[in-house]
Amino acid sequence: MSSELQSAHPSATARRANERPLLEIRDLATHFFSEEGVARAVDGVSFTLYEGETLGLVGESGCGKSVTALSVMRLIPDPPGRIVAGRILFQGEDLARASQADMRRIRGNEISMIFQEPMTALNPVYTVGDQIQEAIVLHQGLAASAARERSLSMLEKVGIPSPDARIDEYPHQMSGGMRQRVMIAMAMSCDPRLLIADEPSTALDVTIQAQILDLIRQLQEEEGMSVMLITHDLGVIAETAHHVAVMYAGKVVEYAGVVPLFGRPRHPYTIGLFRSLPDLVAPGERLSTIPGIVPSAFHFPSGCRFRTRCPIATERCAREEPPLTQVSDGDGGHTVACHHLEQAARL
Amino acid sequence: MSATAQTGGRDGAPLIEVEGLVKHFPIRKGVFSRRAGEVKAVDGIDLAVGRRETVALVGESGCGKTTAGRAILRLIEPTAGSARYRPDQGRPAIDLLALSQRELRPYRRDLQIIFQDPFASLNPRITVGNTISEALVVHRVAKGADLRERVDSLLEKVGMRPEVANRFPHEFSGGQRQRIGIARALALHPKFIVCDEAVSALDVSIQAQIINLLKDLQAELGLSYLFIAHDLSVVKYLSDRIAVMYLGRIVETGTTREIFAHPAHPYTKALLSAVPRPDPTRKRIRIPLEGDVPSPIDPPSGCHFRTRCPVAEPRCKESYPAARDLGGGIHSAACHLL
Repeated sequence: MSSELQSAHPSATARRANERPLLEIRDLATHFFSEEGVARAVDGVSFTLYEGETLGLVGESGCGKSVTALSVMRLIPDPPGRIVAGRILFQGEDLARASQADMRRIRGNEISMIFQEPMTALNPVYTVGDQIQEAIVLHQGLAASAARERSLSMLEKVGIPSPDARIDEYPHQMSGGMRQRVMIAMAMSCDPRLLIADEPSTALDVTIQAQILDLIRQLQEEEGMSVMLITHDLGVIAETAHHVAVMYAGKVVEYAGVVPLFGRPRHPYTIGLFRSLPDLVAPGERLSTIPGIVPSAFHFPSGCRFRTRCPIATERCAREEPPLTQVSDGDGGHTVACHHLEQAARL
Repeated sequence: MSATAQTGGRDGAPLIEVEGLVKHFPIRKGVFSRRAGEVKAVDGIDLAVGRRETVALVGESGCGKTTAGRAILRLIEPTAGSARYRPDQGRPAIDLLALSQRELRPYRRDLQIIFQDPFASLNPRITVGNTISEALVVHRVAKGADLRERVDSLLEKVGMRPEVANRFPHEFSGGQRQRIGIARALALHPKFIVCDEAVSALDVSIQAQIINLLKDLQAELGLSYLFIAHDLSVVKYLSDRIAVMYLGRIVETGTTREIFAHPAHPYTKALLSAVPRPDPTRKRIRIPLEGDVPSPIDPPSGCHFRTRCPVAEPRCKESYPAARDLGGGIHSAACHLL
């Protein structure tokens, strides 16, 4: 079929142009303080995002992936939340300690973010053109007419048909996919170095999801920006990310290149996650499950946080927290936080 | 006869046989509520679900799959069509859509639904035990100690401890709430359950638990499922047959194996190609679909899919394509270009 679009996985074509880290997160801890106690939503997260690559941040609800992203943007509502430890090195500057004035310079310009639900992220009483122009005028200091020109070209770039007409429409006049395109146009309007996409396609239908992911991939290749893609969908990760950080209960439990991670997951949680995917099981065969539920951020288990659901946990797992340890150094390194890697390999 | 006349089911006549199901929602305008048009949510579908069979109804938001499921159960009143229900082999079928609400009541026990959102579908002020026992009380099936025993055994059946009966929904996680919703649906020993996106809101590891539970219950209790979903990987794993909907109509139907191995309709092909697969080494061959689903108020003339179809021809504008059998009565599709 002539209209078929063939593309190899991004890791095969656009390998990282250079190995320079753009964002290095080290031991980040973001806690929320309430009358019920302290919710340790993010509690010692470390990973590196290289220039020009897509890092997938994957995990189930409540694992801390969105809080990690909001910490990078310094958008954690304070109170009740606060970054209590760690560094967020972006191009060498520690965002965890940056002033609000510095953050205003960085947000929107250097780092921008798109969210899951484009309807709630857009203001319903302004036209989409007004909203894109606001970002451009604010961050780049362009005059209104120039900003409108730039908005038009952004709408065109993200594939909105007849942008001349659409620019004066309100968000409710657009479909979910179109709104997400507008969000992307807004996020991209100041040529950010890093785009954080928090479940950008989760609320969309599968054919529209494919359009949005293709668009993000295409823009990334054209503009050479980095992307932090937050999702719970391992299929989306497999098709989009170069590197993957798997989060569980406020921590990164495994970090690797996408091919080694999917080829040979090492952490019992990652292994369990893959086994519970209906895609990878023959019909008729039983899905394997991870017993129990994610522990509450108010009461994480001692030692390894996965031990309460882990099939190979021992007494040591309750006593000692396993550090992230390198198991292979190819392709940016494969690190895993587990005391019992040999047993895990036999799972 | 259209796409779905093929009998579903592993033994004998299907449990439920839907024919020509239509649901149009009127749009009213102005002070006199003049009828200004209608949303053609479901526009003539045929569907059969056999005994112990799982039939998946798939499609994107707004295609009418949820409306179809609810219309079959008469949770909304269908505009036209029939749904013949055969509780026992050999006995004549009953048209569920022709009965009055009063005549329908005895059959309600057999027909249940599990909803998508386990947060919205449970009443926050009613205990888990009362949520489950309500139907048993209303239908005067059990009371007193017998009632409590039944609730306990239902909770056990869905993998929860009987003690939770006195607790309220907010004390439970999404997966546990979905188990409660399933226990409620099972209370009256149903034969047919509409699972409306029953696992869509759950995390992967919890989703696997619920899918296994649905399969176990089907084997144990001989249930039939109409599984409404947009997640094709779950559908592939769980269902025996699949019907693909687009803008109120079924465009393709067949056994799960056939649909995944040899999708025939351009929409099915595009839909399958758009599903992200958890395999980074696999070469992606994607059939891109332009634009969005058109409005069901004013669907395109002829084939509804032609405005987004990568292979549409002039004749697709002219008439809606009739369903064509693609072999053996296990696969059919409605496309001019087959």
